[in-house]
Amino acid sequence: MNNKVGTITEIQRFCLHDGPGIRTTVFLKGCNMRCVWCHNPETLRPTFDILVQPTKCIRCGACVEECTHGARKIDEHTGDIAYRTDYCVSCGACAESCYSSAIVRVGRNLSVSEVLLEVAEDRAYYDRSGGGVTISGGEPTCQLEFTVALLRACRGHGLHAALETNLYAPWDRVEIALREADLVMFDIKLMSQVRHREATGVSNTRILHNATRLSQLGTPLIVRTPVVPGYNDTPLEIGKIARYISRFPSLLYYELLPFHPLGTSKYESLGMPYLMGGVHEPSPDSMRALADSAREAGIAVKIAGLIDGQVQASGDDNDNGNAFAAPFLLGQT
Amino acid sequence: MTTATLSQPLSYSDRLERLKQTKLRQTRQKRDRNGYMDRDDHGTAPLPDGFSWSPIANHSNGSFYRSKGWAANFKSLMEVHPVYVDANDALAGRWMVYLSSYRRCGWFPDADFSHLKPEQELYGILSGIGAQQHFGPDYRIGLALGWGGLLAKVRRCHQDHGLDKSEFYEAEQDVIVGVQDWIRRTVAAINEAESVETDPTLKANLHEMAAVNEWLVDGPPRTLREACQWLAWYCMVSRIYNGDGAGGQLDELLRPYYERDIAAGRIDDEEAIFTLACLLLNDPHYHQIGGPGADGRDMTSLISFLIVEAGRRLGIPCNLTIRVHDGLDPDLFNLGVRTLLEDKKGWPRFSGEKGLTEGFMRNGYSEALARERIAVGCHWMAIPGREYTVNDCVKINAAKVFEVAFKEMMRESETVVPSVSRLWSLFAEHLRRAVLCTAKGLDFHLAHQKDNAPELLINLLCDGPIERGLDASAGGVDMYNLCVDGSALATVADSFAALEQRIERERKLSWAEVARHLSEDYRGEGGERVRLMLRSGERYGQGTSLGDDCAIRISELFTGLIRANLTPEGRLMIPGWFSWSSTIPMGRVVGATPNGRHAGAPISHGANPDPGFRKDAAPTAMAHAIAAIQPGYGNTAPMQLELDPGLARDRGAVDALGCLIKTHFDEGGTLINVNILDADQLRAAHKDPDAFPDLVVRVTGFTAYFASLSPEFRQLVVDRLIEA
Ligand code: SF4
Ligand code: SF4
Repeated sequence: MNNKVGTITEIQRFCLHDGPGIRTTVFLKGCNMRCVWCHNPETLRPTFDILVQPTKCIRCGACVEECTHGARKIDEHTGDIAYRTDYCVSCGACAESCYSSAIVRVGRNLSVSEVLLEVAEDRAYYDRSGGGVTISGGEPTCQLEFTVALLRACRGHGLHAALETNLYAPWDRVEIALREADLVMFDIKLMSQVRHREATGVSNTRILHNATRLSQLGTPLIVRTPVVPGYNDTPLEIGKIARYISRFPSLLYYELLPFHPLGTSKYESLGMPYLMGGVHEPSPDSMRALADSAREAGIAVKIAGLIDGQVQASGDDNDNGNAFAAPFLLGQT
Repeated sequence: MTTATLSQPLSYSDRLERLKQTKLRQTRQKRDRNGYMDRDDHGTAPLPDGFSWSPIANHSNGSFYRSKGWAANFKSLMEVHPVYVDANDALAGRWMVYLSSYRRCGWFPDADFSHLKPEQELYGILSGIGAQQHFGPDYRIGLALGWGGLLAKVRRCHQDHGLDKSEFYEAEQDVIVGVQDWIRRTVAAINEAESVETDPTLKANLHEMAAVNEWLVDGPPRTLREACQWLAWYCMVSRIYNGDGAGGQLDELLRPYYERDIAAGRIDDEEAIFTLACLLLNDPHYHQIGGPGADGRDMTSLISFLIVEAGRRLGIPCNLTIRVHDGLDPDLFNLGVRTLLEDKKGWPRFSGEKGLTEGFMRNGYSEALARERIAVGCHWMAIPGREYTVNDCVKINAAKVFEVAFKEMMRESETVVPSVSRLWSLFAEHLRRAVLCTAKGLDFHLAHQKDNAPELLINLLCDGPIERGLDASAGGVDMYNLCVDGSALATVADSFAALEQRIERERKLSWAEVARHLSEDYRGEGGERVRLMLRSGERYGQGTSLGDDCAIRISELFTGLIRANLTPEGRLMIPGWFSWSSTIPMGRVVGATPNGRHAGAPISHGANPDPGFRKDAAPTAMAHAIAAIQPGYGNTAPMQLELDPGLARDRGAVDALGCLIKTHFDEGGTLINVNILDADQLRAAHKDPDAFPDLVVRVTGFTAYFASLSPEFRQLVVDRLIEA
């Protein structure tokens, strides 16, 4: 089982935003939705991506020699490296020989054991902080067998394993992964079916259906909404989502993630168009107002990245699911 | 002189603000006058124009040596050293000159070590020969006796010894008399200031200041203010004498005075904080707070918190260290972490009980003694008053040793096929020679240092030197545990890893190619590509990488060599990894290295991986790597952590950073320095330092005003942060 291989975009250690405590997040490659605001366009395609940053090129010519598909040529006039994307099969051979990071291959194939070896490095930090491993994406359920195997392996080694998913898959398929996770984090981006399709390319019917079924499993849940100006940044929309999820008994809290403008460079280096130019980050005040409207549904709400964006649970002021109330820390934080 | 015409009485915070502004002005003045300084600020005030003093030579080379020469010059300097009174300050005095800087020649020329020089140069050894101070005084001795009591003790011991130790005892007496003279002159200046002061608060302050200091000429301190003033005097004169900046367990030193004052209703916490702030302002000494006492119980008390609060209100460079152990008051720990994150001034630092105590015990010392060995300098651990260490003065440049080994291997390549294992054995052999040469240097230092530059000030606050009539460098104290640091760990580990990966595993390069590119500093044809290839391999800090393995092997080798050998005269050496701010000069003497480093570029920083070691720059990865290379005998291999202020804004930051610190110490880490700096602000400050006069950065063991650092050093700090 543990030699099952997955395609990984990145393994990132010391993550503080992907669940409780200090975590290592394993970003799997490939996604079945296409949100216009996507922050991680390099995780979208299931295959390797070739990222180019021509300003880093030292014109060594190695990539031209490596490419057997004729996709790289030296421009006779400028000496620059010309890149024919239409010839490129994303094999990554050029990136292997490019040490200046002018060409970078995004994506590695790693076995469960290899991933486990790396994530286990921070075990002591997870233990002390109540953290663990988060499997994210892309969309991890696009590599379902690998995801399930990795979740099992982590838990088998005593590591808290969280799954971050968009829930866009048939229930029968994803249920097995959801059952293997210690914690599930998923997004509800919009309640309107039509607008959801406009913004993400798919309808939300299946997501909402899966969310309801998931809530019956009893697995601790964190629901998140990326707050994107022009799409869902109204108290009305956020209030609707909050009311919807307020029925989930195992909901730990609802988290609002403010949209961050990316700039075009990341998309450019992948040769993709960026559609969010000119859209700004929502202000802390507007985020607070949205959080307040969500709280009216009687649930705990957090705003990511805001120091005063704590959970304010209705009823008691227990630390709802912020499992990172480490025992060694007393006093005010 | 202050001419305040405010209707409201001046508050402590008004006075502190004025003191801070004065400090900023003085820092600018000093930089304009003396140029940049890549070291601690030390709290000096600028000398008044027209100050002049000439040393009295007692050697034909025009310099001064031995107890007699040092004492005579110190006393003479103290007779003219300017006095300094600021009516806003709780404490009197600022120091302005280093006596050492008046020496024409350094080392005592009658003791010749030219026989050691070739190897010292070959291996880039900072030998420590002639190094002054760099161990810790026991302030309790001074606080208990006062200057008068110390003088009486010196006289008594002199009598006990008869005439044969007269030079030593007379020198110690002269030193004390010099200090008392300076204090007396300061009292006169305070009285004068009081007579013309119009602000009632400041007038009253000056009145009390005069009384405090009049008493302290002879008497031991009785109150918190007197104790702080006494510490300030000692710190100032010890700095003047030879630059000594060692601190102590500040909370425990001051607790009895604070508790007595509070019980007697003499002061409230606000006044205590103000007095403590004035002490920290006087000189950013390396004090420790919290941590276990000899019996293992936590030493945190109310005053520990007040000391942190005082430092926070000051907002200037500060070097407090919190010793983290299982029993540490969680509130103090939490306050320390919050201070780091919220104030972003690079302090406090944290030291790790487990690694330090267990490590020191491996030398055969008791647990109680190991606990008394505290953080008293930038990376130093020492038992105050009982142990001579030459901390931070003795370094072996492992990159230079590596270079020697590499060149030798390539020279013999006609007969012996080059390989990583051949290189390794040559490196090990040269490192062995470097350690031996260093050990001989230490014996030589200890044989002659009392003639070169005796420790007349620290002797006074040690157990032994005065009683025995022996300098602390010459048998005065009980323990001689000599600090020997390795430098350039990441440079060498990454070099070994790159060679193994690119030449032996992947066969992408040949030895001859690499040797050629190194000799051309990667500037020949194809050089840049090879440099980038070597630089982008499996580096130290990535976790489970070749570089990590190499770093562990190197540290084990270094530690083993040092532990396998006492110095020829039988003294113990304790290994650590630290480069202080010497990464630039140590790099200048090393050619290009196979980790993709250009000739003359700085070597790696202390025990840290080189910037860019991992794409996510995960601090956990760094912490894990540095914990794994700890030599483990009670000296430090500090972790220097550069964090983005984005983290500070994060809800979980206090918990996460707290967890990082504690887990690093669980894994055997010894000392953590943290910087939290905004990359954009740092870039802007690098361009125009004067626009950010109060930007404080932790350079290494010490913090400093960014604007006071040399442009070259600022660049290094910028690179470190931005690549991290
Ligand atoms: S391999 Fe990289 S650096 Fe070399 S020419 Fe190609 S893109 Fe440029
Ligand atoms: S990824 Fe493969 S096909 Fe595409 S340019 Fe590089 S070497 Fe050629």
